[in-house]
Amino acid sequence: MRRTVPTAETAWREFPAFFPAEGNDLFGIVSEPAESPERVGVLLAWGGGPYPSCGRNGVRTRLARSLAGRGFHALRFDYAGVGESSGRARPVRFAAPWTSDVVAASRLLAEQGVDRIVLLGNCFGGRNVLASASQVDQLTGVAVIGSPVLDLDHTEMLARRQSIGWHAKRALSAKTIRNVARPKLRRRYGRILATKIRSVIRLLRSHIERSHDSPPTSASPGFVEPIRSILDRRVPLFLAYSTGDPAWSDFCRAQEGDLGRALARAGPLVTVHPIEASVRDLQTEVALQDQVIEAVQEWLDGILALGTQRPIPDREGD
Amino acid sequence: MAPERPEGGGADRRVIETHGPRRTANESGPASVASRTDARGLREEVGFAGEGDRIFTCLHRPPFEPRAGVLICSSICADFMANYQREVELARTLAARGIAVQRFHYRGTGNSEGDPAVVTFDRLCQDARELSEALRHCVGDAPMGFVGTRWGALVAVEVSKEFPGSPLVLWEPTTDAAGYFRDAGRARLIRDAREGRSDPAPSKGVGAEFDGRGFVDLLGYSVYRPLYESARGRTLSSVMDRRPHPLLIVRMARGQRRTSETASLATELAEAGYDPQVEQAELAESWWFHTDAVLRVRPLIDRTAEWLERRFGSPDP
Repeated sequence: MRRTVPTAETAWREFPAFFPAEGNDLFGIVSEPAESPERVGVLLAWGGGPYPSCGRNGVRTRLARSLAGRGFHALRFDYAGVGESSGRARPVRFAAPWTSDVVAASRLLAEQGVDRIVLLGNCFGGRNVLASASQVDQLTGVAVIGSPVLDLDHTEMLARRQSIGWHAKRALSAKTIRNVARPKLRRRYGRILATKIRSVIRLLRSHIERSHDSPPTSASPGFVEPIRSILDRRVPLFLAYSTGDPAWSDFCRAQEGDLGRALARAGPLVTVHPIEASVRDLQTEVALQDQVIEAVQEWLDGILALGTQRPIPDREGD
Repeated sequence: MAPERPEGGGADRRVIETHGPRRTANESGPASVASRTDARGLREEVGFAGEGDRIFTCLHRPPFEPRAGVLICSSICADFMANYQREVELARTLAARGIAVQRFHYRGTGNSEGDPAVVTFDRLCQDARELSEALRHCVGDAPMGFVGTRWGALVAVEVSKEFPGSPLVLWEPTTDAAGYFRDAGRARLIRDAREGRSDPAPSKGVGAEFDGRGFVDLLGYSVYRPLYESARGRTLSSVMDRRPHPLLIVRMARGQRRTSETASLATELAEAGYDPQVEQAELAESWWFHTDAVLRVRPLIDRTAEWLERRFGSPDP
């Protein structure tokens, strides 16, 4: 049942908190309903990058307060080495998601008197919440927005969008040749080159595979396996992408493999929400930010209506 | 709220506490603050303060009585995000040198409360004044200084007028508010061209775009008409004090000579009695296009801290 949203002046309260995570003190802000709590907490885990807990244009602040106004608790926080948290910032590595931070944050949220927890992750934050889901006991939902399906960061994603000819032309420019002397840029160029080589290999493979009638499956195990595990627990899953995001194309292609089978088997537990846009990142337009907030709110309203989890039947053909 | 249990032990002992009541928005009362003290005794107090719409604040305290206080005035929109971690690191560096530092998010932005649609240039300055007063209570008679980045430079300069002779550091200052929005419009055109958009943003200028919603979308940042209108016409020269302050201007550029704009600003300031030092930090920032990479800014932070320390005088032995 959709709740009437009270005015901002009375809808929510906020308080700051430091909480421990593997030797660091992480900072977070808890938003809680001023009245009639639903006892469901939503953890907002955003992407990598040295950006504060409010998010671009305050999108995380707005989402948290909006959720609190609807009866949810919400926690937005800074990863280690970012914003007000202590520690050293870590590189974004899909092989090593920042699960300790997410799990620690979920514990803080659990201490606020909630019975159920929803993990919501944006971009790399989505991979962080997927990797952390198995460690959250009161898990009642997982929402993933714009998260990479393959283990490619933004540099590598950008490299995929351009043709080999485009890259070759830039590679031979005077500026690029000068930049090769700089270690950081040299490493970046190396990643771009590796990405293009992988793309060519993948293309050749797909030609070969098609000739053997086997469907291509290109999603990372780091994306698929946690999703299977979440759905095995009968936990609702929400996935949102911009249709202009290369990750959306990857997601669609991955439907032909294990990912698609897992999602299809879970049926109504899964909500896939493509948002029509030409941009990769839904945060780069205010209207799209609002669409994401609205879509998340609607999905969470549905979460409230769900009953207890029931065991999944035995798998067939997996 | 009860203090959290202390973590660790011995040399690594840290203390984290949360205190202050949970208040609803607009409810008056004491600040709601969480604090942590590290092994060196540096204390950070982060939370919400102020009457009415509360401001999100971060106070960095040295282990002993502060010998000075610095208010950091952040920029807005994309700059705020791009420069955030640098400001945190600068604050921590200054606190380690005995200088208390106050950082904050303007009301209506970031984690602060308040309606973004009513933010004006004067309200930004009002918020900064409020926090400078709070910082003054913390440092007592010790001197005060100000750091402003980009748009925040306009705010820092405005607020520093109430602290005659206070040292000012301006990182890549916005010298002309209208120019700031013009650059934003251009950045948006670049983004549209890169994306190959069939519906690019109008090219008549930001001011012409305010519609029924009352705001303009600048690469995912809402800029409302009151802020735009109130800031139009403001330039760094026009807000500068007639009473001079020690001044360090840092250009954030790579391999470029000082531009004629900075040169003429430096000349103008010198004629007004300032003694501006203009330096260049070797880093090229793309203010409107975020990357996840953290630019190496240690030299910029150390140089800024060193310059401020010298202006505040050496610490007692």
